[in-house]
Amino acid sequence: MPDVSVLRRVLRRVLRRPRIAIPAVILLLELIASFGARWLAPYPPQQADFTAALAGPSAKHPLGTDRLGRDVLSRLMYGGADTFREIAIAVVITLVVAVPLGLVIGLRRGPLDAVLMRTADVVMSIPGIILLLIVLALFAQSMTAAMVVIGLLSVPGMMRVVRSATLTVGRETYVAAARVSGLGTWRVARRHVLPRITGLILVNAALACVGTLLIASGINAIGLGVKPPAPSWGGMMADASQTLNESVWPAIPTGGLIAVTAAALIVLGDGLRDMLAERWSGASAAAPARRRRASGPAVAAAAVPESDDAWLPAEPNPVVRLTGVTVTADTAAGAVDLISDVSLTVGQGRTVGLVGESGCGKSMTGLALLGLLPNGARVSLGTVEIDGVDVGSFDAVKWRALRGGTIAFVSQEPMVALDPLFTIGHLLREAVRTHEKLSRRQATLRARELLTQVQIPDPDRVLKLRPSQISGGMAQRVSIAVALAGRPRILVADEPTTALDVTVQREIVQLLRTIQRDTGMALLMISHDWDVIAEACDTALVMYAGQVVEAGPTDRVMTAPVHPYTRRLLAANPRLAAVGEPIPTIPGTVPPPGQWPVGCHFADRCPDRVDRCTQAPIALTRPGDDVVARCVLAGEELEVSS
Amino acid sequence: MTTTDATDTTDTTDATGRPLLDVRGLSVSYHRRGKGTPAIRDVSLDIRPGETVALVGESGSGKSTLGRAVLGLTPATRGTILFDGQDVTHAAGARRRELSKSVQAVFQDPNGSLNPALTVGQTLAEPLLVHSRDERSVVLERIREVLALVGLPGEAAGRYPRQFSGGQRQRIAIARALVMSPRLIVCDEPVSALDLSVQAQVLNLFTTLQRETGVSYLFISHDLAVVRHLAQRIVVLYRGDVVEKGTTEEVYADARHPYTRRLLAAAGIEGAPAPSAR
Repeated sequence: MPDVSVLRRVLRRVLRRPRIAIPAVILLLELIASFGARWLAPYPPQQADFTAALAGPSAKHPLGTDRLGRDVLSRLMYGGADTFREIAIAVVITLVVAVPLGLVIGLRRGPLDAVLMRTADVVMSIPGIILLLIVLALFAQSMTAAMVVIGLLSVPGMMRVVRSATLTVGRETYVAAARVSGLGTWRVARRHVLPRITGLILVNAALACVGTLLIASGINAIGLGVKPPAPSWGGMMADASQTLNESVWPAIPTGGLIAVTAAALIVLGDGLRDMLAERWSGASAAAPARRRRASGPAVAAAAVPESDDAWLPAEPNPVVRLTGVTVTADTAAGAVDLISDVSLTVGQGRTVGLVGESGCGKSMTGLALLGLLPNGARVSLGTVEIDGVDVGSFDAVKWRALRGGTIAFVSQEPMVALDPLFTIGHLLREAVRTHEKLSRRQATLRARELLTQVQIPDPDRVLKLRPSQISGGMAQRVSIAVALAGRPRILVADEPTTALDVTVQREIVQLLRTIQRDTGMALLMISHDWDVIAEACDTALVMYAGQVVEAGPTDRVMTAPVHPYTRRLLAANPRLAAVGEPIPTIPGTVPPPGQWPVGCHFADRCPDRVDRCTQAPIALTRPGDDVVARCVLAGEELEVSS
Repeated sequence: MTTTDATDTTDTTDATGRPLLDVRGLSVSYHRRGKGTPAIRDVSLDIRPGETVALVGESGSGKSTLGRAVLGLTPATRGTILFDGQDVTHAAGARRRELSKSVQAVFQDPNGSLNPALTVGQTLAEPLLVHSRDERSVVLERIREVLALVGLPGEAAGRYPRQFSGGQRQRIAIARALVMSPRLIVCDEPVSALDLSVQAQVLNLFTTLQRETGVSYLFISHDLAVVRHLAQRIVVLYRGDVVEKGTTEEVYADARHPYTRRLLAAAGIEGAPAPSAR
């Protein structure tokens, strides 16, 4: 007897999801009606009332009668038990054979894989209908025998699905890690692979159920399975088709029931898959509050955006200006600020670097500038100006015109940014033609020119290659070329070197510098790597927990850091640290959005903390000519050191 | 089945000078349509107890392949792998399982190396379930111990990987490697997916653990600036071949192969004075 509370919890989880609850209830009612037909059905299945033949629905016969005047509802109920039994036999056989085989050959590969896959090819080429007819003839119209055959014939298909899903999951690092831990194939399959592919198996099992339902109904319809007058759904369809000229009615409840059952099975399979996927991905389909419009900013107090960017060299023509930008996300727990009060200006031909640890809001700042904030997040305070135009009220059409043309983006993972299906030439031509009306020939010329611009030797050869055929460094060059296709005025580069070998990292940074010199493009460089910031950026902004904590010319920030976080972050660079002693580290972790303290966000990890740090929000101050810092000690320390 | 003191991890100084891991003339080919493409050719290296040897090269150099071959995840085409004097090149089944007590791994991707559907405790208990029939309380105690070793609180065991930062996840992956008190950990780019500040924390953790447990590391990386904090010796791979081999000081002071010099330049330590002996 299962624990009642567990049962109730599962039930509650299921009932919250209509996509599971509705088909589940339908199928449950069908099962109860079918297997309880003896007690629940209003009439015995064979009882004929010739006076009421081919009648429509009435109080006496809710679903009408067939050509012999038998009650359609009762016959459907009696026929259901066989139908469900048939489905169960076939699908259980398929699953029991195919799932373990698919798991084992997917994980082990080797000769067994080769043998089973070839066998599967052979089995799949057997004409199923003919085999079924032979079996039905040999086994005296035994539906059980027929269902065993259907179940076995479906094994290769299911096995292939399970195998290929297993291959994919098997490439996950945690599967390698489990093997290194000493887990055998079977344990790895059960603990690490099966839970990940259960949803897929359910969906395919639901499809197999539907397939079996239709085949079984077909066999019965041509009279090779259940012998009339015994009721079966297929037999009733055949019956109804004989009298279609006199009355369409009997076909409607029977056909409708088969269709509803099939649909319910499919929807249930999909719903269960989604529910299982949520469990480990942590995403919730019942995402609350996603569409809710929050009425105001999360932090009402101290809502005076500071636009102190006067430390930046006066920009005659700023391409991008962020003024006091706060990005707020609506979550289940309410509105949460992701970045707070960020101001920055990037002038033509200039490079501004955003540096800080993961989770400090660097990427979010870039996305705010690109108008690509994730669902549920929005700029709640401050303004974003591009080429002097406030883009706050832009709709999708205006943004599309801006993106790629005026602003462009290069990401950390070049391979992810390039569609593996197309050649590099195709990808580049497509990018070029979204911005300019060019013929195919002209587009190819421009694509070649772009590859030359990103210093790829032998561009003609590379145009014909696919992304999988080039190295990571070359892929990053190509994705930069794609970004350059629209001749952008500003490029946002989010960790463009992080996934690359050290030898290639520097080349990419130098390439970006060269392109800037040639085109006057502005560059916002996001990186956690001081070497990249030092090499690429005129100005550096250090971000911590959603705020700019220090800014200034890159040289000054790196040689005379003011904020304790900047100092610690610089010291924690393994490349600069002395060998033979522990590398300096910053104890603790960055507080996530929603858990920022009232005062200085860094206070918990700061060795120089004083009482003033934790009492009230800390403002950006300007203690020196080229120094902006968000620290109560900034001014005092400067005096001490100078 | 012969197991020589495989559980004894306190012995860091082998009086005989016998290497813990001895790879001799190892080649690995990936078969593609019958044609063998060599990933590594005739690679030899050895690691003594308590020592760290760095395997350095760019992506595609074959450095991860060597690591996978030592772990038994990729079969060797030629050559031998000796662990503690025994040939384990083709160890499989029960022998490989026995070996997995002594040889563990930490992988690059802190997101992919933990099963998102299992709690941290379930992941850490896995090797214990395979190798021993300990009581639940013993298993829980060991999990608390290794979590403490990597600087995580005991209650981390009840949480899921997605609730941790990248650096914390890498600590969990290291904890999993430590559960069986191994003698060798193959570290495949264990810090390159992490922020620099977090890299520092994890590198320090590797150093501390080696001091406390005497474990040896095969440390695979593309970044010479990182490995100099840990490695006593360095092996440089270039397109599947060993092109440079020596103590860390030798390689930094007097790199012979042009590729090594490029790596040094990229790490920003060209012309830097040789680091002092550790």
